[in-house]
Formats: sequence, structure tokens, C-alpha cells
Amino acid sequence: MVDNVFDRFEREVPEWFLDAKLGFMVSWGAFSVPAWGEPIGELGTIDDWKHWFKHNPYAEWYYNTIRIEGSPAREFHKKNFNDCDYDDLLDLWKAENFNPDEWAKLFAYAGAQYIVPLSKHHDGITLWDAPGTGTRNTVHRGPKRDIIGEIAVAVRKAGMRSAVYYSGGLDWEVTKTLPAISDNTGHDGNGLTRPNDAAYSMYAYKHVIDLIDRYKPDVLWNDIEWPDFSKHDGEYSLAALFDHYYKVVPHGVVNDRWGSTTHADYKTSEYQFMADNEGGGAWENCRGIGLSFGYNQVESELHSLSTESALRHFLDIVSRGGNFLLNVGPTASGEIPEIQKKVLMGLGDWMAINSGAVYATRAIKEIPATDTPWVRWAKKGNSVFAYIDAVGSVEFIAPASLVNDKKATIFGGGAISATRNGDKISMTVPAPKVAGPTVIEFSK
Amino acid sequence: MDLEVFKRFERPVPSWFTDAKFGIFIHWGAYSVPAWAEPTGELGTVDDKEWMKHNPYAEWYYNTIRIEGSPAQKHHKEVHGGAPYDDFLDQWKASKFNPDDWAALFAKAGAQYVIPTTKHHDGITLWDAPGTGTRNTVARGPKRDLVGAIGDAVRKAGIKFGVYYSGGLDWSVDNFPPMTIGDHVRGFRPSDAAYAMYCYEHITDLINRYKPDVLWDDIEYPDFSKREGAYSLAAIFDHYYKTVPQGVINDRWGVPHSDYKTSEYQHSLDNESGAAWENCRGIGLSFGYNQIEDEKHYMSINAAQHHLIDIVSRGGNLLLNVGPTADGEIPAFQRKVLEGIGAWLDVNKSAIYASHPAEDVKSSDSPWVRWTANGKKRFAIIDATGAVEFDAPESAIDIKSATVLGGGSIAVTRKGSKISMTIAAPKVEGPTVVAFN
Repeated sequence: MVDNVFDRFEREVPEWFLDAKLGFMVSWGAFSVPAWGEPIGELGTIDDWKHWFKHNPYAEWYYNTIRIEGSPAREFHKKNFNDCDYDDLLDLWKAENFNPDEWAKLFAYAGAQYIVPLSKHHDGITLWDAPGTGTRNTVHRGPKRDIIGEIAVAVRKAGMRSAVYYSGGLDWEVTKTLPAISDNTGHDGNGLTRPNDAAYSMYAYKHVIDLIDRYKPDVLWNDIEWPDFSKHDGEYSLAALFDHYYKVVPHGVVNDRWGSTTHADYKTSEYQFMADNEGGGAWENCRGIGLSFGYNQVESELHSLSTESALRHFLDIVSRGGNFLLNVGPTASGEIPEIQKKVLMGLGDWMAINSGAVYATRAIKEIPATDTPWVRWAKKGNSVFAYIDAVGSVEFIAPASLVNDKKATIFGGGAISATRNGDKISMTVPAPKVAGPTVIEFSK
Repeated sequence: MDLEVFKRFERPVPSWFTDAKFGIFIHWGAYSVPAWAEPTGELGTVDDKEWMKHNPYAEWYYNTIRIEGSPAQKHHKEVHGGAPYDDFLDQWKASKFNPDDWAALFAKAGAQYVIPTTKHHDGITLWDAPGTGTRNTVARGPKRDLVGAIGDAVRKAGIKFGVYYSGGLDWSVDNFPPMTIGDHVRGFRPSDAAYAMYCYEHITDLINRYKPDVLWDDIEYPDFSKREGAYSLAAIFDHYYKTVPQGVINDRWGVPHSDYKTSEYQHSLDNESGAAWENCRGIGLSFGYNQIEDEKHYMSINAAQHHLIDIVSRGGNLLLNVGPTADGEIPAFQRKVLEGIGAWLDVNKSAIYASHPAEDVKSSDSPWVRWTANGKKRFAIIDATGAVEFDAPESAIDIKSATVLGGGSIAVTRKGSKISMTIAAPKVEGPTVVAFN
């Protein structure tokens, strides 16, 4: 492996991505049939990896979890699915209520600028008729549809960008003879837990090339890693893959999960994991509305973001220059569960008024965020925006050199008077028309 | 898996193959650098529990050295410092490789087809196979397309050219522990969609580039491919027969289609029947060159001739293996055996090529007599000199027509179902052939 092979891909991050702020991931698969995980907590908050994998809250990891001896998921699978082969779940996945235009309408209303559906998760089942998958895909079995293609068409028709998630790091079809993953030590290096060989490299290469050629995805969102054998130049290499991608989709962006020695247009964090990646250049935080990406029937509102907490999370990210990739986990029949729909509608209601103060903004690091009152900042052109989650009389830091208190308006509303007291200003924030923070725009 | 789909490939075996009788197998690889194995015995004669740990097949070196406590592991530590296996690829220089010289030897030996390993179980390809990056002989080690070089040379010498490909095992793609018992061979093999695609790309590349007259798969083939459609094994067969209509496919794919069956040393002897079959073996106890072997492990010229003739008399082909050194030389003892076969065939070829079993006469071991037939001709291949007597029913043999191949007529007398004659010392080493019309 020559270290500098990937240097040639260094480039400016396309503006559209920095401007987009909000995307939705769609985690849908055979795992949506059992739709079962233990909602034990957010990734990054549980230190014991063995505990994590045995009680994995990620329902999309079902195939792994049920293979761990003594796991409650294994018991669940025995009891409810008669310990069937995982692939039987593909046939049980009917997607009978899947209406991509309805999804797209909801996503667009919620304010998403790009949609990232899983094209192959760790179970290795592809959501299009990927090369070399025979009948083990959603076109030949289960839904009997090109889910990736249908989503791409629908979301583009609705004015959003269309991306793809691909699990290059894990493919349990390829490693089905290996024990389940029960620890996070050795994800890199020993080659036992993820396939790294020449054959899998070729397979993953052909898959992603096919995704590029068919769907021209605006984002290539790889997960976990990319097979080590490919991390070079030449035929079937990761470098050849990037070459092809940028040629076909010049404005496309690739995430950072191909391996640290390779290339990324932007960095990613997930729930509270890899928070180090948040900041310095383009980045994106992803998480589910609850504690899982794949639909988990065990979850309730107790485990889920509310509209308010989702908006706070989103605006906190925006204020720090990142994008928020919020995950949607449809049911096996193809419906967006009510808990999730409510949050998306809430986001949309808020964005309907305030999106102009969010899209295309940039972080303004000179102004400190505060939590009492809850205030986050961003800037765009001649404006500075304060996202304030409080009503009534509030006082917060807003340096005179950066914030013109004479020109304050409620975004999408009328003027609001602000009183300066040194580095601080105070104002009386009226009750908002929609749930969520009030945006105050300060012009120059 | 609907294996029935493979039945659509049923067809008559091309006659060139059943006429050929004698082919040369070539096992050459990174394993030819250490060239080390314990010459424990012939496959099919060694206890299964002992075979893997003391594997006499030098081409299995990478497996054997991973078995805890194996003498090969000890050897690898002592002599090669426990180096990574792939270091052998770089050390494999093939500096004296002369494919025309090889082809001349094979032609002189009387071989009708030559089958080199293009990828053995170690996964290293002897051509720049798709997706292998630099892990092939074009980018590393020999720095040559060995498959193409051998193919060109043997065809120039008038010999047909086939390819061996290990579809069943590829130790560079699997994560299995080393194989320690026979059952592991079929159990510890990659069978998934990715490896299936990889093999497909490799074999179609071999077909497109070299148009091999034989596709010789080993061990098995990834289960995921055993179907119709894109990247399937059925698609490979379709493509192969379309590209090489006279080509033949062996029987190690694990599907209900083959043009011919195979046995190996004394293993799978049940396969030695039917319209077409082939026995393969090394001249010694290994396919890859094993420096440990000496004359006590090699077949003598006489034993090799017996083996070939016995197989031909039963309607099979012999695929006799040579294991070149890492330099590219065919070891002297192997060369000697090939030359011995060739000298004998030169005189007696009409009893061998294009022959078929003589159903109406029986072989015997004292004296050593094997029979072949070609139309109405019967050939008694007799390894004895002086007065001999053996079974040959009057209905099958006209004693008055007897001639010695490479010599003149010979007097044969009949006593009931037995005939007798006096065999002169042969001009070339090997059995004497008496032909009857």
C-alpha cells in the first residue's frame, strides 16, 4: 500500500453538501421483519463492547445478535421465528405498503436535502439486483422491487438529492462461516471479523460501481471500512472506485468510513460515538430517532427523540458546522412508524418557517453557545442567526462586533427589540408559532 | 440449489480427449520455493488423521505449516524463519524457465495435453488474473504470464492445452483454520457470493485469453454459483462451450455435469469407469516439487509405463504430473520418467492413442499383460521376456496375424483359451506389444 495513492482525491467539499444541513438515512432490510433489539442506550455511551453486541440496540444487527450464545435476541428468534435461517426473513419482507413518493413527500416536508438509503447492510442483502448476488436481493425475493432505484427516482422528483449507504466493511453472507461479532477489538487488523480479501474486494467494487452507474448517487456513504486488499491503485481498487465516482458524479461526496489511510470528503460521527470527528471541515452526525437505525418494535417514545430534542440536536450540529443525518426505520410493510413520522412532521413544521435560517449557514465560532438559555448561532451572508429555545425574557452573550442588536427580527416574523448590556443582549421572546426554538436574525 | 439445471450440459465427450490417453499436469507455484513435504505415502493409502499433519503434497505447504506441531511447521521456522508465505512468491524467480524446452520434453514424452496450475489453493495466480492486484506471477516473482507462456509453447509443439484452477480452496480469501482432517477440505472452503464472483471472473478470463481445451477445476466450486444467471457456474459452462466447443470439463465442480471423471493416486478409484476418466498423480508422492523425495518415492520408468498402460487398458487417461523447481527446471528424475514413457510410446503408440478397452480379453499380472483395442485390432501389452502363456479366447484373437510393434511377425501357439509365445528382449525399455488383427 503506497501511502499517497489517495492524496490525489483531496479537493474542496462541494458547497451543496455544506449547505444541505439535513439528510435522512433510511435503514430498511430483512431485519425490519423481526424489528427487534434491546434499547439499552446510545452508541458511545456503553463502554463494554461485549455487553453492547450481546444486547445490541441496533435492530439491523439482528443477524449478528441472534448468533451470540445466551443473547436475549437469540431467545426471541427461537421463540418467535422458530430459529429460522436469517434469509427466510428476506422472503417474509413484503414491503406491501411501500410508496416511495409518499416517503419522499414526507422527507421533503421535513426539510431533508439528501436521502441515504441502505443499499446493502451488514447482512449482505442488496436492495437492488446487485452484480453477483443471484437471487439474494430485494428484486428477486421479498419486496421484489428495486428499492434503491425507486427511492432515488422519488426523492429526486421531490427535489432532494439521492445518495446510497453501502456496508463495505461487513458482509455476513461473505463471512457466514465465522463466529458472530461479539467484541469491538480487532475490527481492524486481524482480518477475522471483516472480509479483507481479493474476492470480496472485487465484489464490493462491482457493487459500488453498479450503484454509481445506475443511480449516480450524490453521496457514497460507506460503512465500517473498505476491504484492505483494495486500498491501492489499479484495477478493482478503491482508488479506481473514487476515480470513477468523481468522473460520473463530479459534485458527489464520499464519507470517511473507507479506512483512515484512504480518502474522505467529510467526517462522520454516530450518536455519541466518534464525536472527535465533529469539527474542522465538513462533518455529519447520524443517529436514529430512537436507539436503533432499523425499526425496533420494542422501542417507545421513551427511547425516542421528541420534535424538540431532535431540533435541539439538529441546530446544535448546524451551529458547529455539521450536517445532521437523521435515520428513519420503516416497518417491513413499508410504513414510517408513527413515532418517527411525528418527529419528521415536527421538523417539517419548524423548517417550513425557519429553513432559510438554517440551509447554507456556516458556523460562527466566535460567539459562544449557551445552555441557559439554550442558544446556538450560525451565519449566512450578512446575517447572524440565534436559535433560542426559550420564551419570555432572555439574556445571552452576543458580542457587539458580531451581532447588531439594532437590526433584530424574528425570522419569518416581525422586528424584535433587543437591549445591549456590554457583551450581552436581552430580549423578550414570544411564544413560537410552532414547537421548537425561535430564530432571531441579526442583520449588519 | 437446483443442481438439476446442470443436466442441460450433457453431451458426448469430444473424441480428442478419449483418444489422447496421456497428459501432463504441472504444479508450479510459490510452494516450489520451500519444496518441502514429508513423503508419507500415496493419497488413498494414508490414514486420514495423519495425512494433513504430514501432508506429502508440497503444494499444500501453506496449510501444513499452520498445523500446530507439524514437522513442516518446524521446518518452516528453522529454514525460513517462519516468514510469511507470500515471501515465497517474491523468491520464486523462475530464472531458468524455458517453456519451449518444457514443451519439447512433453512432446517427446508423447503427451497429448498439458494442464498447468493457474491458481492453486494458495490463491496465487500464474497469470495477471482480474482482481488479484499484484498477487500474481506477472507482478511479482517470475514476472511473467506463466499460463500464457506455457500455453503458447505447448500448442506450438502440437499439444493441447488445458488449465487447472482451484475453485474449491483459496487460502487468501478464507478465514478458516488450517485443515487437519479430510472432511475439512470440503467443509473449510469459501462458498459465498463474493468468492463466486471472483472465480467467475478468473475462469472467464482464462477462457477468453487462453481458450483452454480442458477446464480442470479442483476440490469443488463455490456453492453460491451453483445456479443459472449472472456470475453462475452455468454461465461459465455456457461461455466455455461456446468459446471452446471441443473443450472438456472435469468432475470436481460439485454439480451433476462433467465431461469426464477423475481419480487421484489411489483415491476416488470408483471414478475409473464410464465413458471418460482420468487418473492423476505425481511421479513421486507430491505434485509440487518436493526436494525431500528421492528414488525410493519415485515411480521407475517401468512402473510409470505400467500405470499408463493399465489405465489405457481400462479406458482412462493418465495425467502425469511434473513439479518443476522454483528455477523452472524439471528435475532429472521426472525428466527421466517422461523420456522413458516417450521412448516406449514412440514404438508402441498405435496400441495406445485412440484405443479403447478390449472387452473380450482379460488382463493378467503373471505374466503382466494388458489389452487394448482399436477397431478389430487387439494389442497385448506384455511385460515379460522369454516364453509366456496367457488367456486370449479364440473368438477374439487370430494368432496367425500376430506381429510385434516395432518388430516383425511373431509365432503364437494356441492351447484352448490360452496362447503362448516367446518374447524377445525389447529394443526400448518397457513392455512388448503384440498386435493381432
